[in-house]
Amino acid sequence: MPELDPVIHQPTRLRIMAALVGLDEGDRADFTFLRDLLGLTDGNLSVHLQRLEEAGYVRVEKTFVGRRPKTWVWATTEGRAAFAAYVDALENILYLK
Amino acid sequence: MQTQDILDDLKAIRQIMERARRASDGFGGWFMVLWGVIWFLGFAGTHILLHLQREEAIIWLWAPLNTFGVLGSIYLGIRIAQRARTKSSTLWAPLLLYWLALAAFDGVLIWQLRLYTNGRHVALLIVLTIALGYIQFGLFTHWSISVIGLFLGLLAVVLVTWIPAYFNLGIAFLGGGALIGGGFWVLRHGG
Repeated sequence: MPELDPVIHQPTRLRIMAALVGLDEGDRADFTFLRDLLGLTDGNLSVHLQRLEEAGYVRVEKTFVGRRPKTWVWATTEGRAAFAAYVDALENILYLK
Repeated sequence: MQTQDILDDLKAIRQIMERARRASDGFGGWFMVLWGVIWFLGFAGTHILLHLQREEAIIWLWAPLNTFGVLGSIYLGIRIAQRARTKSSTLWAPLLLYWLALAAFDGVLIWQLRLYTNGRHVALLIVLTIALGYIQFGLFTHWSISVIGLFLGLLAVVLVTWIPAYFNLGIAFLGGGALIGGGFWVLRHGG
């Protein structure tokens, strides 16, 4: 049975990764865009992004546009590879059943 | 994990990826819908005004419509750029400059070739220039936008050659309709 990445396996983190990988490579998502798209609270999204960032799957960049803070998030190359491996593992489990 | 759980997970993953792509790349689609509505109102109005022999009123129809279109395009560009920094959303500022350059180019041609003496020639030049703009924009974003541009160009040539009396009406319904329909298609499929 293929092993599933425990970082991505958590349902909220899986949805976050799916949204970020859904964007083209090199594209970034605004924090609020991601929050609204997934229907999460600020705190919930922050906690899971921190976990994904620790694993090296996403990068988070805080900037200012004028005086307003803005947070950009994007999937790293490692994150995209891990997500693709996770989806492959799911499909393999399905195939083996 | 149960088979059904895995199938549900895979389905949810695909849906979220699709939603993210569509939500972030809506710039081209909304831009087309906006200009499709302006084309429909402008060209249908032009046809009616010509029919009523009120040619002098045409400029008063197009001036506010174009102003609304430019302001709407700037608003769309700013909104999308604030949401997700994607290939198409970062294109909006150079794209705006590109359209302004095309407009200036058309202005020089109309002035130097004295096209202003014939309203239909002016309209044809503008439609062909816009068709060219869509073809080029599609090459950098989504192929469907290039297809719409090609359709608009061919439509304009066919109408002006074979049924010139219905040029404005044809561009209003078929050109405007293609932009609106194409815009919604791009919004559904990304672009």
